[in-house]
Amino acid sequence: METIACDRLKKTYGKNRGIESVDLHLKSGDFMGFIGPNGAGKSTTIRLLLGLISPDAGSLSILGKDPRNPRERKEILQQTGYLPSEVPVYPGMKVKDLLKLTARLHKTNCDRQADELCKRLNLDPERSLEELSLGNRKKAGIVCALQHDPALLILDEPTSGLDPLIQKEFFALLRERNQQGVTILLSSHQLTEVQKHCQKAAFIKEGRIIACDSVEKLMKSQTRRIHIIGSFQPQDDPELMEHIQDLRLDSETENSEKGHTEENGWRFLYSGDINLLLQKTAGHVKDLLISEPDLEELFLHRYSQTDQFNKALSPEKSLDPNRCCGPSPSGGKDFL
Amino acid sequence: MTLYLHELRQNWKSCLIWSLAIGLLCAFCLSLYPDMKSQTDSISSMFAGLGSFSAAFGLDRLNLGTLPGFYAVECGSILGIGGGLYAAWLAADLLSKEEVRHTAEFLLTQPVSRTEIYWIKLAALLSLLILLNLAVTGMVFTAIKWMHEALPAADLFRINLSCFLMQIEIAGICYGLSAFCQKSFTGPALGLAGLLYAISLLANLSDSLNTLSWLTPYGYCDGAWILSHQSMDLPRILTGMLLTAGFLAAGFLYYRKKDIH
Repeated sequence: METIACDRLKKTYGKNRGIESVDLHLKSGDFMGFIGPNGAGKSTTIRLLLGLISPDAGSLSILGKDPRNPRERKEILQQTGYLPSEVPVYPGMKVKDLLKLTARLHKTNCDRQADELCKRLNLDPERSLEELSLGNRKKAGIVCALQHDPALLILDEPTSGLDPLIQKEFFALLRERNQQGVTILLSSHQLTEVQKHCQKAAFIKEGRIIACDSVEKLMKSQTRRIHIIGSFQPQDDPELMEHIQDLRLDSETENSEKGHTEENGWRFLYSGDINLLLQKTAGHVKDLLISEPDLEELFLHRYSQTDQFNKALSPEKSLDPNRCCGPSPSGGKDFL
Repeated sequence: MTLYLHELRQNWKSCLIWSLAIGLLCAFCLSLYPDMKSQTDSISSMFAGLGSFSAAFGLDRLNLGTLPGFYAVECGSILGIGGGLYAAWLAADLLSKEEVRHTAEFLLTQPVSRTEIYWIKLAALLSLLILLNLAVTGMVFTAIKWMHEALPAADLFRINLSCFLMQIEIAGICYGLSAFCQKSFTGPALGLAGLLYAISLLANLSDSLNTLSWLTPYGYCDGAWILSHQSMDLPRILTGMLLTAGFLAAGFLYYRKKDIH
């Protein structure tokens, strides 16, 4: 049974787009980073998963239940820990009051877990929520989400406001829970933390999942970061230019004694056959560096393109139920 | 029960302040009664010369020389306006505050159904209104005892119970309407309470306008009517309660499927 299964999920807010078509599948024990810029549809997707809003179209199942059904939604929330991007502040409430309120609403005693989590996150439960900094409020929210030992964790930008030491402890906590079989969906702007901690990553752009696969596979995409120094002029070769993206020119130019010879430094992402590149650049290269782009580089590059994905992602394409998410047969790898 | 107690904890201070304000103001007005009853004739002739103003507040139909008549005019107005505004404010705030303060994302992701949230918050609202009315009635009775006056318990009970039902109607309407809002409904709710009071004043001006009193819960809080009939205005109360039930049901049906932002 999939912990999260949604297909062709759509939501609009009047004339404004929420999400166009989101396919997301998480199996039990998955740890997925959910990445996208502001307004891409991350929060809308999360709100749909939690039943805060209703979809206009598409199918949705969480822990095998339908969040649109009030009775099933309650059962889902009993087994779900959610950390909102803004931790609630009820006037006059202390951290311990919020933790007790959450535990009582779950009809469980979480005193032991709450104490342990507060100690690990260095959070004083006697402090008033109104007096707390953003980071400390976030810690209170993390304890609320984790203390009742949920089977599913949905975390909306959990590390914003947390200092590096607490971030380290927080991810250690998540890893422990994940090893115990807890499924985790973590939305983030920080690609490095997704790359470092998550098994899978889903990229959302303009309301569509544009890539979704294991972080390892995404990192092992054909795309390479190339840095060439020499007289090579890539823009003169249309065949190569088909595979080149994010082309940038270094400011390195020199004049030789024999005449006016320019040696340029070119940086670009290359997704074609590396032999073709070597063949085309033969005799024009002074130095060549081939490296693997990091997830952030791939992500930023991908988001700099505007229409390419939307054109490629036609809704008519068939869905492969075995893949992690997204309408692309390769889970979006072919774009990376 | 957890959510119910949570709401009571969140709102007991404001309930206490409103209870003290309304109760102490009533008690203060009652403390003026012993001096006033000795000047009944001059006061009655003064109000007789005020024309429509007296009619609007029912002064032309009440005897200020008696404690029930004095109570109906002074304390009835205080409890009517104060209690009505409190009921409107609280009812408008209970549901909509969750979205305004961004706590809805927390509360609605706990294992509590929207049905439970809607009706439990309503139960907390009714409890707080009961507490306010008990506190005010207690302070009023204490003030009358302290003045060594005979306690017209039945008359005061009818007037206070009518005011309580009026608060429930205003609260029910505002609570139901607030379910449709994504922003704070407090301002419009207070305005609505004021409008309903103004309609009741207008309805008192002439017999031709009297049908307007069916549009407002203040219509069945008219002390002059209650004292002259020695009963509560049950047809108007029943109409008001049906209207309240309609607003609450409409609000509930919408809130169950509402998108929470």
